[in-house]
Amino acid sequence: MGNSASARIDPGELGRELAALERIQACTVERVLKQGPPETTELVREPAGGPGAGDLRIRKTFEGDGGVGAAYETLARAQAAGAACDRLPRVRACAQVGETRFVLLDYVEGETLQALVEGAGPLPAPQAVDMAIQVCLAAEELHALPAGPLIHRDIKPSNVIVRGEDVTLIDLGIARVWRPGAERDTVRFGTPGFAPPEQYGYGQTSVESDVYAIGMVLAFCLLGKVPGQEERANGFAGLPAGLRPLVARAASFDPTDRYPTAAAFRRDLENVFVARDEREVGDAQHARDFSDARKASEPPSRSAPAPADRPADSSSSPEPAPADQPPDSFPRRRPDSGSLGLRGRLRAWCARPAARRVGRAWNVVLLVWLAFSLAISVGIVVDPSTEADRALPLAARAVEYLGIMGPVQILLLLPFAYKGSRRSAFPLVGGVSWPRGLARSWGLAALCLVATFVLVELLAPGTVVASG
Amino acid sequence: MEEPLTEELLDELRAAPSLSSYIDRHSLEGKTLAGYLNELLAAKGLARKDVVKAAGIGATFGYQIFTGARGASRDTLLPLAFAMGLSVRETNRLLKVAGTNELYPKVRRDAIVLYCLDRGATLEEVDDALYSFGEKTLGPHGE
Repeated sequence: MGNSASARIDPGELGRELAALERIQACTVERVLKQGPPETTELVREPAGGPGAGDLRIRKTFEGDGGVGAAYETLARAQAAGAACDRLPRVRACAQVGETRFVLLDYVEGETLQALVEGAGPLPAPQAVDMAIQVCLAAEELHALPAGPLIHRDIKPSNVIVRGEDVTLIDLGIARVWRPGAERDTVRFGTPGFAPPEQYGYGQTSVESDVYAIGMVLAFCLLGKVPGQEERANGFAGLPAGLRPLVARAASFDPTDRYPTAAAFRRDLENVFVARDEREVGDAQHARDFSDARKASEPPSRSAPAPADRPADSSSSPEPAPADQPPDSFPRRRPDSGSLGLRGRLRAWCARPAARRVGRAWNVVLLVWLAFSLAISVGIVVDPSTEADRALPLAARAVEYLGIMGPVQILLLLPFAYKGSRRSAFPLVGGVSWPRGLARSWGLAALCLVATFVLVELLAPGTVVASG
Repeated sequence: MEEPLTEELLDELRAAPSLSSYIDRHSLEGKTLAGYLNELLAAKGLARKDVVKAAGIGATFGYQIFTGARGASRDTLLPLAFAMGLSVRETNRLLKVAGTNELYPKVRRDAIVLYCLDRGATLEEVDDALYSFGEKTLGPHGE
């Protein structure tokens, strides 16, 4: 009798659920941001004495039988398992009771991309491309979750939070896990202007649906308004020529015509810059002011030119546009790089494909060195060359050499490995700033060193103490 | 009662997370507790006598609830819900028709009941869970 209870009800799980519920309910409401149904979003504060006391959080309450908000649970599990989620909100707690789901998230400070563009007007092209690259990276994190690609389905400027150089993609309320073979989605949601056609019921939403939305977000940043039918009809003529084919491809009606992944879109966005920068070197005369390019990209100021008037795809044509052509081409430098500060410039540089290749090569060098030094150590352990080493028992030699060349060395090198866009996948140093990671990992290295010496001393008394 | 405007209904329909939850909100009017209970019995192919017994309710009292001679409290209806194997939605509908509060996820005891309903637990299992988390159990209920 008592055994049957454990079959359906797991007291441990129920206890965790109740604890999460209690934590979520104990928060005090600062402000209601969105009033459901099906979703209520509040800015709340964690109570004193609990975990994260006094911190601001976002509390979301989803009502309804559908999987509304279920994506947060998927994300929470992935985050607990250490998936790279630098550009997604951190889930602190979630609980599902009956048809209600409660989620507690980190509050992401910053301005929405929507407010940013509405306040400052269309973004300069390099900055807009940077934004699109960042949103791509965020989408890539979602699409790479271990449970299967999580499709956001509501990527739009108001769901992109910008704070300095950090970009966070929020609001996974209608995200869902992509299932192979499913014909179409059961529940339809989305935002007109950014939602792709399949989200209106033409098919199952997929990775390409988010690619579409990112393309539209890029167009929004450049145009300063939601791209409408006319922009689509005239082939996004208001956009800088170098970006036009990219946006048009990302926002193709047919999902199979789009970039197959957010990463593919991002690589093209990154390369458009590299191509331009290289051209700038050879053709400094054509360098134009940024504001010119911006003026030219505002569609109402001049009649939309027929696409045949200009090169259809200037990103693939190597020669620069003639000087008398309207400067709707891409600006040749990144004017904001001066204001970004050292860290920003470093980061922007690191995002380039060339930098990624160098970074990977550097990691290979580190790994080769590690393998080499370990191999040498094994050699010494097996066949000691010095008198002092020969005096030690085998176990002590093994601990001494492999300990120092193994864990200690790995911890010493860890902060210097290239991490690219997968920072949080790195243990120990991924979640914190670089100096902090350095302190952590070198601190641990010191501990390992001491532990190694202690072990050696235990195995062969007198070795360490005698030699100092 | 004032008839809601079409626009309001449409807005609500748009806002509703699913069609069934919308229908839910608007199809309960005019239903009686006894009527809904018998509807559920028929839909699930259950016998009243078995359900009343499984819910730990006295035969006479149970009979009166099903004929509409008596109303029932929340703590009498919940054992009935578990005895009939109702879903969360059906249970909330039952509570609503009876004029009592629906299960409220923010109340700890209700949360446990909801959790158990969700997983198709038996009355014994939900009482075990309630007891082990220091909440008042549902049954047994005589009268």
